[in-house]
Amino acid sequence: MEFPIAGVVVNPAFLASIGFVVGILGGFFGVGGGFIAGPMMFLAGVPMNFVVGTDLAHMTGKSIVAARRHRVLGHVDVRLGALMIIGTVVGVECGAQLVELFKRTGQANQIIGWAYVVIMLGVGAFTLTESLRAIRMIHTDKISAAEAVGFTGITRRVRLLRIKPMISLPASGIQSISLWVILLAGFISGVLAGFLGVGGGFIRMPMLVYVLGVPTHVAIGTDLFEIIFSAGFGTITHAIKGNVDILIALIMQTGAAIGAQIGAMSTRHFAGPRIRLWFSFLPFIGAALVIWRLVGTGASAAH
Amino acid sequence: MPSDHPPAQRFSIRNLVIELLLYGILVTLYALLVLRWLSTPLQALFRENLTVYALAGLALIVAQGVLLERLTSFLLARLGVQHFE
Repeated sequence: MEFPIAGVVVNPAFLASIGFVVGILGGFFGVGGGFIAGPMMFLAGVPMNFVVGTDLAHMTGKSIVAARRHRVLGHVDVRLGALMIIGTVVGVECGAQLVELFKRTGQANQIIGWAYVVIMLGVGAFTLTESLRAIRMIHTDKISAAEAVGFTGITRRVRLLRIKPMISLPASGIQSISLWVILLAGFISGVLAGFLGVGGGFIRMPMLVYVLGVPTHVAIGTDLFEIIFSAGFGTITHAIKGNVDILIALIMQTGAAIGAQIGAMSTRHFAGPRIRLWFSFLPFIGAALVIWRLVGTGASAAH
Repeated sequence: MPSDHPPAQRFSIRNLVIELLLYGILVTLYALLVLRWLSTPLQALFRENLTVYALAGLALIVAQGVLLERLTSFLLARLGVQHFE
């Protein structure tokens, strides 16, 4: 079937299937899933400039479905999400400026690519180690899965910071935390998202759990809530530049809506540490795809 | 042969299958309608005014997200099937 805006012929069932897979990942892990949807769309023949913008558009719709479902399940801390958006927006701009800085060196792709690999491998390895430790704690220490976090050092220190104004986040079970910590967490995840050119779910979800001490299920729902706004903003900016094929995004979203529902509902049947254990493999996949692209680029440049 | 799964879990899986089937039918019909009716006007907007196209696109995405979620919930309620929650 022809999609005249992007000027490409793609099977709509294939697009809906991509959306379905990415929707499950998004609903279950609270990530945008651009690391899978992007390469798959490119594989289907969608031009690269349309891949990025269209992916953001479908991500917006999918996150609405998944976040709504998580909201019903009580997994969205709207207050936390809204506050983090402020820090994220500023951070994304700073990250984008950082990219411009590296562009002047002429090595932006290599620097950003390898930084992405290092950060993703770090996030993956850390989450894997922590979740395995938390699962062991459930069995050996007989503590509840909700309380089992294998690494609480940063959260404890963060909670000790008493820089006013202090706020409470009842939906996340946080009695008192400095507003600046939340803004800073949003800012850091925004810088990394803007610098690495990703949605930020990879970074934000672990940050919510390990830095702010938010329960895993709430971290997933809140992350999706934030993605609605960040991806929505990205959709507008890319669409104005002519990089979004809304028809492709709408078709992808039909599959993603189903997947997001399944993913979000499935979180009810898994404890936080188990979700984090599976989540830990996603950054490894993301890093592997970037390494493949970097090495591939290097190989093609050599010829 | 009795199922190994507890009744609540069996019920959830049944709901999930019903929801999946409903979604499958609805989204197929919807996708056909989208491609048929929206293709030409969106293409025209893309050529003439990108700002309006961007806003219209976002509105469509948001509306579709809300529609798909709500329509299925409504149909499940009409069928007398408890929702997954």
